[in-house]
Amino acid sequence: MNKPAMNPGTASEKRPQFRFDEDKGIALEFPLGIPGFEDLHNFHLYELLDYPRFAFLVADEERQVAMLLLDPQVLAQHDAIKIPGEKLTQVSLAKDDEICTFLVLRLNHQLGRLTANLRAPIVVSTRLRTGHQIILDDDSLPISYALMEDDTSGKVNANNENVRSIDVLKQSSPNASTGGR
Amino acid sequence: MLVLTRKVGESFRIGSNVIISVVKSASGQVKLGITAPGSVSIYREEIYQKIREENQAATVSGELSAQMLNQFLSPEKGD
Repeated sequence: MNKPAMNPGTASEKRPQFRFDEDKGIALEFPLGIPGFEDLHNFHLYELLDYPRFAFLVADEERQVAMLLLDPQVLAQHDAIKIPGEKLTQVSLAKDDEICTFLVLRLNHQLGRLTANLRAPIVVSTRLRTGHQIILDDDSLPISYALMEDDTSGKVNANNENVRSIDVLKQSSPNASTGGR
Repeated sequence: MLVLTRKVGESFRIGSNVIISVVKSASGQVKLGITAPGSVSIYREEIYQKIREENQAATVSGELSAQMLNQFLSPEKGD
């Protein structure tokens, strides 16, 4: 089976590519903060220029608090990550509010692994531009799901027909009506 | 910390709209029933702590992340 392009030799010759446009961040309010950072409420979400489907969430008050996020649509487990309506009402969203979902990624330098937290996705209301990390009740969803190459680079490109969460956010206007449904 | 003693079937109230009832107690385990408004999130403490720890471990520096991401991925249309 052909693996997606991933050549450490080539990559090491390049400058690290982890670029985002500082001027194009999307301001988000996390009214309850994020577990572990409950006192931080204002963040900006940036699109990674080199990696479609990845985003970078940075706290305004403490710029060193930054998390790498992944659009879960690239994962085969995407369907398992459903946000129940009652979880949305717990964070003051309507059940039919348009939301964008992201997974928090962890770069485990010691193990050389990239893991995704499927148990606690970050949900962003496109209408209110508020964010919440929602802890799902499903015990079968792993907190440290090891991403495979095929999960990310391969399927990212294969799934170009899907609208990216960050595009939905960019195209929506904050505080606008949800359109009646 | 406030410590209350309750028997099975008894309850206590937090604020005006959260009620915790003792449903069953056996073999060192206590089964509690919680009545709360839909807006109240209820988690087992160890789950919340795991998510906290995972978030703190997930906090990254841009440079390290770039190196790591480059090792893991390579943009298909990078060049």
